[in-house]
Amino acid sequence: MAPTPLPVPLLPGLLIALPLTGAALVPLAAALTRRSTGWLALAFHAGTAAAALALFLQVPASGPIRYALGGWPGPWGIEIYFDGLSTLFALLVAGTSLVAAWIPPGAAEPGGEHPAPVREGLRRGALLLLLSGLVGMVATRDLFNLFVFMEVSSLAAATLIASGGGRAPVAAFRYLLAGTVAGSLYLFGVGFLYAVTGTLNLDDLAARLPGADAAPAVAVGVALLAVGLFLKAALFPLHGWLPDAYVRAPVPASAFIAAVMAKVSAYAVLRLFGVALGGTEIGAAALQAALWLGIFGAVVGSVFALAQREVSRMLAWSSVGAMGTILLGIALGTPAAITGALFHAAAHALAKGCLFFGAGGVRSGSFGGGRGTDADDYRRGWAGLGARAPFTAAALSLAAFSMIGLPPTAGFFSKYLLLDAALDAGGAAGTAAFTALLVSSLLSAIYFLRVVESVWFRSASAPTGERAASPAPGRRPLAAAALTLGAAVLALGVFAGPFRERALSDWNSRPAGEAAPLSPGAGPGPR
Amino acid sequence: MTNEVPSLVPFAAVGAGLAAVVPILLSRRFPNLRETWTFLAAGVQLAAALAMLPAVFSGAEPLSPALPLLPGAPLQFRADPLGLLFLTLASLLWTATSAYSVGYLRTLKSPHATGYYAAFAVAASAAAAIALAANLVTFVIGYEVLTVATWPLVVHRRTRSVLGSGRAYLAYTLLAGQLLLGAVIWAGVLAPGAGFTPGGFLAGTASDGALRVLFLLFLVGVGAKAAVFPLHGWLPAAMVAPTPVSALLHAVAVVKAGAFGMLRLTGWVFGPEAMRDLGLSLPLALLAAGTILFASLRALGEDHLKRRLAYSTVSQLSYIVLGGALGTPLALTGAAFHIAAHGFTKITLFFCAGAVYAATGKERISSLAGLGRTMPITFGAFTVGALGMAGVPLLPGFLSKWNLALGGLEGGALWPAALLVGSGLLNLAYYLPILRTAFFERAGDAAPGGEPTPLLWAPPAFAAACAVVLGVVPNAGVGFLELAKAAAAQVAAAAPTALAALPNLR
Repeated sequence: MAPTPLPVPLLPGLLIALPLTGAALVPLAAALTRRSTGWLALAFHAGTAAAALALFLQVPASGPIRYALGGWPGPWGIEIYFDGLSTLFALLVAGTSLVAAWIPPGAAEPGGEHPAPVREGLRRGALLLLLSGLVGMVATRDLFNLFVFMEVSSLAAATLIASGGGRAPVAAFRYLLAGTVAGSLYLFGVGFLYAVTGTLNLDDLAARLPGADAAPAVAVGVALLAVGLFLKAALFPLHGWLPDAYVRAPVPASAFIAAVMAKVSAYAVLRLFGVALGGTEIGAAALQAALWLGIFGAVVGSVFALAQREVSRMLAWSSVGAMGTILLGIALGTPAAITGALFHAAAHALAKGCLFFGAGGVRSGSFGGGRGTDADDYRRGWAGLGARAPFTAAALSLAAFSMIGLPPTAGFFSKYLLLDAALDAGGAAGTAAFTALLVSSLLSAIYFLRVVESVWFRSASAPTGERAASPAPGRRPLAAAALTLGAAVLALGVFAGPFRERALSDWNSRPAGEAAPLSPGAGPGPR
Repeated sequence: MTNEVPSLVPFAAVGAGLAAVVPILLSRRFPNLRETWTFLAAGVQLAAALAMLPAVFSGAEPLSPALPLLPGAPLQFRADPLGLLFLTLASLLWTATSAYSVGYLRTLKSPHATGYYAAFAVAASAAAAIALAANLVTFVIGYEVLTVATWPLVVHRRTRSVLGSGRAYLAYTLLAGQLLLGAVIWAGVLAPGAGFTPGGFLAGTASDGALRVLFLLFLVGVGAKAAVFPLHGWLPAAMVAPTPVSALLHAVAVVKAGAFGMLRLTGWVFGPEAMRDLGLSLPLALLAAGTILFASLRALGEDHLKRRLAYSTVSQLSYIVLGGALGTPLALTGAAFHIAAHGFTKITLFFCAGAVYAATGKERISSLAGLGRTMPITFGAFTVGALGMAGVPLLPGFLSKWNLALGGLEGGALWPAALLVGSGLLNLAYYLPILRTAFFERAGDAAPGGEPTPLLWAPPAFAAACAVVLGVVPNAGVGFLELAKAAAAQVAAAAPTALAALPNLR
């Protein structure tokens, strides 16, 4: 297993090390210099994104890249692994974080004043820490290491959520509680599996499980692990932490969290169950449960979103529905369904990030029309946005069309792929999934188009309460962020064909697992 | 389909409108420049359509390269006779409507004109995509884009009640669009990779029951835009739009996309033979017949001019659906020709209604008294349109009805002929009173001023002239009747037994 030669041999390691280093350096620099550390943090985000992009471009030519951290090869050492899928997710995570990092923390908050440099440095550090945790979760091939990165991301996310004003600490606490429970369940599960198989390496586990999956401990382990991941992925009915966390988090963090955080956990479900655990009896049962819960979640999330007048909260509930959609695709398990689910994850991440940047701007009064929760009502602060900020409003409308699944945005193609896969899979579950997807799409048409209608066709009513005398300074960066992601939504739709064939082809050719499992006992040679 | 010729012209036809969107938005401060872009795009689309005519008449079919968007379902455009008929009509009338829009919006000093022209350009592109779609997925993409692009046009006035009508419009069309998407995906699972095929491609791919359910999904999906009863409710509601929008979109582009879709569905997806074998021809024909009568009766009771025209549209669209249901060569010829015939005549009527509104602010039929004398050109054109609707000889509506009636007889059924005669009488019953009011009643108040700006009376005069030419020399210029015949011949060649027996229809 000789490592593939790379232009920069340390690239895979850098991808994780860069944001981690930044997470330590940025707050330190802020504390020492008492100056804004925006450029330093941005440099770390840009470096990470560049590394992810380089890997994304490299992998189709070189094939999957396996990299042993610290030179210790698997199954004993910790391996990180990059194929088309994981580089895609790494790029998605790093790219959205770069867009989020562009916005100075606090710039778009009620009050609008710039936080003190130390405080800003801490928040920027937390964002980098969250980035490193998520990239680590995407890359790692080791079950325990996955737990570590999961906890890193949980703690960083809780910090970010808590830094919002008002009731944010409560939301952060709920999130922390859910994250800790999920992490503990997951860790217990890994413990059971380790006790039976003696390995933490995913590929090694895949090789060893077939002989041992009759053991009750395996069943308990897989079940615990599944519940932990479902909780992190906010699969209905384990979604309780999500709406408040998304809504209460301050602006750049909320968009980043809403765009990618839960999706990385869904990705982990795909990796773990696709490679190793789906073959066990209990693993198959867990996937079956995820399928039906996803079907219900897709509809229930949309129904709750329909009931919200506050756009941020509506977006959060729509994410509950989207997580159901993604997990039902993963759980259907056919290559077409998994491709559709991954495409949906990418499309949804870009669109939801875009919408949360816009929602953050509306709440903070950056685009005029009042500020606060009241302004976030789609009939108030959103009314007339098209006249006040036409470009941002256009990007937000594109993102909304993608959420509904209207061509030519990315959401149409992911919806098509999922519908096609569901019908192709057939059976009760396939038909139910097909129906749920159509119903959920129609519901989202109602709740997104009423916002679009308000944005373009209604004129702003006189804002009640406090009037935004001077808009928050975040307008330009927020507009730039929303425009970037809106353009990405459109580009992903227009280039749907090449994208699907290139980035997601792993799952078309090798549905059960993307690499030959390591043979038991025979460790790979040294690097 | 051996006579395909690779061509990039279909892309030009579809892309012209889209390419104009950004220039239109950017030149929002320069109205003349902005409207130049619109004319330029309409001209390119029309030129592309005309450029493909010789090839199609010689039996070839310009086929664009396939853009791989989805597995087994590329984005691809093909100019076959039926598609080119629709495209030529739409781009010809888009050009006329562009001139009319300029006059209308400037006369009424309407705000939001930039968004209006941009949305119009997107809608024209979507209509072209529908016309030239080579497969169902391309069709559905055009269909959904058309729905979204026409929404801002419908709610152009942005009052509360107008927004309500816009919601009704979206509710119908988006719901139908979802069902259509579901049906398209289902069809894709049954017959992977199939494009529109004369004579259909779905026969025998699933059990009869499943195919009937699938047809129902398609029928709702496409039928909503074709305003088939009981899915017609959005069309009168959409009359809140500015008149040029009603004229082009709700007489030509949107509703014709639906009617065109019904022809594609019956002739190119299921095919007349499968329709007959599944027992679908007769129910669909009866549904169309019911819509024709129902809408005509509703039109009788409408005093609002545009709403009466809308119900007339509902009725006339179902002629096309009826032709698709009958499925015989002559019936298909009549149905395809009616796309063009109804397009020219109905757009004339809408143009006239808009000219009256712009000149006098009057929308109700009862208030039109005396206007026939003060606006002779407008009401002359209106008379041509009204008689064309009734199917008077020497106007194009007669030819479509003649072929439809013969098509019914060809299938051994007499009732379509009777229905068409009856419907023609009903048309006279609700159009002649308008003319009587306009020409022979005296206005109570002081007679209003004369004709509006030439940009408002020239387009209806042009459309009416086209209608007369089309009625007298159906193949003059474009050759619409020839295209309709070629389209019907394609289906007939692939479904030779369609004519042999239509037992359900006897």
